[in-house]
Amino acid sequence: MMSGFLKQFTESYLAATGLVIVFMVVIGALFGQWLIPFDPDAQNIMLRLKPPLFSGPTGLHLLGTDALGRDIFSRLVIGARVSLLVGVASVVISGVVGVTFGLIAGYEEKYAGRFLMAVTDIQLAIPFLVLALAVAAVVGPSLWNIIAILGLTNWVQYARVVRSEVLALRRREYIQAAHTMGISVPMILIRHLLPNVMSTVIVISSLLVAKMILFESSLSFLGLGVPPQTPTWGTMIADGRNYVGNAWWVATFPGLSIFLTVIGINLIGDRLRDMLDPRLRQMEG
Amino acid sequence: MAAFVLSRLFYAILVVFGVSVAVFFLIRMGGDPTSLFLPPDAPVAEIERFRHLMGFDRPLLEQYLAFLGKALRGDFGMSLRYNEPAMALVLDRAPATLALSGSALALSIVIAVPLGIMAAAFRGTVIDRASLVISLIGQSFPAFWLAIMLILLFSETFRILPPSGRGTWQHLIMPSIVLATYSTAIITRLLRSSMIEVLQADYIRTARGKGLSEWRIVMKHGLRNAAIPTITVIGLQVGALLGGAVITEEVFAYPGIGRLAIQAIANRDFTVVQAFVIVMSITIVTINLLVDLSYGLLDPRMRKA
Amino acid sequence: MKHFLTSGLLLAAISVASLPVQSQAQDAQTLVVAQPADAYSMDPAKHSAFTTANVLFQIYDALVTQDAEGEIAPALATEWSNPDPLTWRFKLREDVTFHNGEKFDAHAVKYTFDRALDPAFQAPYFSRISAITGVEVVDDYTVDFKTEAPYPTMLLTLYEASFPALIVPPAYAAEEDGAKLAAHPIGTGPYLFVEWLKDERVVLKANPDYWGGAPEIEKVVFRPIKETRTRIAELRSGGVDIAADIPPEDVDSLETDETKISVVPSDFLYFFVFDTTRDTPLTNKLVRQAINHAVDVDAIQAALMNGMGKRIALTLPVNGFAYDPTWEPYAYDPEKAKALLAEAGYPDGFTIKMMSRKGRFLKDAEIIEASAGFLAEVGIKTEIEYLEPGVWGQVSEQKGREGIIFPGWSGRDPNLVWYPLLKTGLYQSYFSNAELDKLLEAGASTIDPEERKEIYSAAAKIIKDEAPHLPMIQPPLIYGLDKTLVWTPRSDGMIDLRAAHYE
Repeated sequence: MMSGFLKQFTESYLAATGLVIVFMVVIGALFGQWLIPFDPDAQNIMLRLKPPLFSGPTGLHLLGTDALGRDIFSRLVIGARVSLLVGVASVVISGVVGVTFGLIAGYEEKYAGRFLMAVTDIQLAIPFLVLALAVAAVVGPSLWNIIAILGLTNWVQYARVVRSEVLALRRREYIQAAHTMGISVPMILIRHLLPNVMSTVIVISSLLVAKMILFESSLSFLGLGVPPQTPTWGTMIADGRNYVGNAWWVATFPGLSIFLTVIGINLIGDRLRDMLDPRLRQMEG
Repeated sequence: MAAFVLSRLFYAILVVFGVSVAVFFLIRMGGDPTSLFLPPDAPVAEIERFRHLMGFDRPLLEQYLAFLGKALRGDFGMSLRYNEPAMALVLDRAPATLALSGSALALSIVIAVPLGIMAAAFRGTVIDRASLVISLIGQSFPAFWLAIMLILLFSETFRILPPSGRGTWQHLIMPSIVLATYSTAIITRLLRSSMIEVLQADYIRTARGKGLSEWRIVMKHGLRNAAIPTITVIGLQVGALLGGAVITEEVFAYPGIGRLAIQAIANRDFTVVQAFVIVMSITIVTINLLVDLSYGLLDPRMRKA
Repeated sequence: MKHFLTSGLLLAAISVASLPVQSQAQDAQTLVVAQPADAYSMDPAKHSAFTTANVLFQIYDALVTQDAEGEIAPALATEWSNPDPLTWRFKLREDVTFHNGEKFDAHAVKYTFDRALDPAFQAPYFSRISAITGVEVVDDYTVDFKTEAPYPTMLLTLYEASFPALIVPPAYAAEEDGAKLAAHPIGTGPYLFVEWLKDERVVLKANPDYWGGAPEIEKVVFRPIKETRTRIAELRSGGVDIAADIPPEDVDSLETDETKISVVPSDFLYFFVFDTTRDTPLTNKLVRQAINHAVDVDAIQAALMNGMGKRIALTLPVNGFAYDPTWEPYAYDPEKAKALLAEAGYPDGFTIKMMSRKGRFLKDAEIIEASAGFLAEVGIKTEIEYLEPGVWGQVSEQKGREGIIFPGWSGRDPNLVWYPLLKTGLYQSYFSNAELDKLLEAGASTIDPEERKEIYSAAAKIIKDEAPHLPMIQPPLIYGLDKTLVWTPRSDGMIDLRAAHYE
């Protein structure tokens, strides 16, 4: 059954490409430490900012070296793990919180809905930085704290979009029917409404994974990123931006990595949406 | 109608109050500004004296009640750094940020709406894929990176746009583009997916059956029904735009609210941060209200609710 | 509406290509300075930032200033003496008026300091001038500064980099409780205030009646531009004439037909502090010496600073008081470092925290991470922790800095560096040595320069041997300039436009 799914999935040329890209990134993330030519933290400041294909005394630096003479390719591979973790884990947190809020707020418009939407609006008005600073001050900017910050500051989009869809959906006949049949509210939410908002959720998630990876970069830009011994694509771009005038490769390769990963994730997300949506499947026969 | 306005007003007050409480305590968790104000070699006694004079050593609840009491009378305190009324500082910057986020939002909509419709109408074709790639490019580079690249290209290399500051409309071009990229991507993608969904619905098939032209179907039925989630997202993007303005304004040295806020946060200029979030929350509540009202206009079924 | 917007944007996009960009700097009589931050107040006693001081120093004067050689020179005061060890007496210029016509005299000096020393005034840099216990008017153009103990560094307390020392007009400064001065400053300086659009620009115009001679450049604009690439872009495109804080990597590319680079080693100090107050290997002198041997500071300077800046042997600028050119830093010798570590009982090294802020000073993070790389080679593993500046302040206050710390400090006298950083129990000090304490106390209360030099020479021997720090460099101050601008940067980081002019 799984293979059938995969077969159907890869019928789309684009989706297959996306799968290959994401597969490669995941391989890098899982087995990176055995694939890289250099220790990602080994530095040689005499060989700093060397261009791609630079052949150093200890080997070929495929994508050049950074401001401290570290091998960019090795750091990219190792960085894949952290960046993916940041992107996926924070999206899971956001999604769970946001979709739950959105479902409830859309269905129970009166009190619970009003309250949850107020929480949403409060969240939206609190500058992301204020929250990040408070957390950084109290518990320090560790990797998991940053994931938590990102997760807990980006669920609003889910909540509002899901709510607006539920508002429209719940007047449909079959939901009304379920309601009159006495099916419990959690049941209606999970069995009948959740599947219907899934396509939107997938679109938002695939976009948000990318956004989270970039957000981590923005945190680095603002000096609140993950600790330096953990290379991430975001930090690499943020730190590399100072060299764009004289060493373009330092920030460009991590940028390209994010770009390709985002495309991969989106292509997969697109295909999944098409396949998971029952109405669409019926259409395509 | 009166009941509606009243409940909305009550709701707005609830949100603004909630935000002010949350931010009041959150920003203070990151330490008070004493160490940022005094020279690094200031002796301990001097630090304590300053803290006491500023009132930072008092219990948080007491500080909050003092703030609330004054805020209710319209006094949001003096900026610690600028030594000027905090609310006036924030409101002075508002027009600059409004101009920037307004032009960015306009740019987003102008690009995203046609792109999203075309992608849905011509699903699976080259147009659809092109829209995918365009929207992906926009969101695959961090805003600050895109900003720096634009500056490198248009200010350093071609020298046709001013790299920073405010004054002429040319100053708005690069910041608007940077600010608009993410919103453009998300509006395009969401409009496309909503449209596709709507176009499969029964009444659209009925319309097709009636022999209406595809274009008419897309524009009349599809767009109207896909508009609700799209407007929700656009409404959300306003909040995101104001948030994104922080980094954009910083890179382009654009004197708006975002830049004021980022500096106020870094300097623990509590009163300015508080005034800023109050303005933010009022803006967001207002936009949500407009979005909710537009649902009624767009969807007759909801008008009764 | 949509059509209107679309066509409007299209038009905009088309016409932008054909329009030349307006630039303020094309006017030879205007000088635009880009700094990373805006001014915070126009009141010299109400701020704590160099970027603000740089603006205000064009509007106000201090009693003394710094000359081209970095020595203290007369400004509003013409000469000074010590009638007794607790008194500094200054003779004032008699031909000076403030921009609003108020007369500059001894009363203005007394008012300036009385105002900033009043605790209720809440001057952020109170501690810079708090050694002054009173200012007495001797006659209209003579003032006495009184201190409780002999105060050798009085001149550094009264020059422009000691922010509240800029002289304000008494009658005007008292108006509206100081609000007028803070919004529209009046001083004795070479430029008159025109306008301040916050976060956008401060505009000044030349004061034709300046007592030091009218400045050549008619109009000065200060612009806050935080992002380094943006400042460079403005300089390149002719939007600004002085761009502060240029990274070393961009130096070569800014030596062009239109722009040039001006560099000076700063008075600022880069060094690591070892926390000896907690129970870590750093309490062992041999470990501290080993770390001094392990980091190749010369290589760091050559690579990260393009060789600019100055290597320091001890935590004191080479142009600082009592600095002895015969002092030698610990030589880079990883083998010796390993031997010392083994002798100290750590043959396999250990793990230690490193604490700093990031992006605060030129290349701070790169220097810390490069040093961590060198330490790794002798077996010392580091856990780097970058704190947000406000959090850093909070941590510092509770003496919470741990391990190897990169604080950044400045001061041209051992009393301004060693005393706060090494004297037992002071809150910035993470070291204790009874003998050194005695010497630092003696240096702090001795006025005779020769006697002080001897005291600090003895202190230097202890500091070298005990190695409470890893002294590194005085980083360079790098400015990008318009090619035709003639202007000399100063080692203390203050921007002085009094003599600036175009070729």
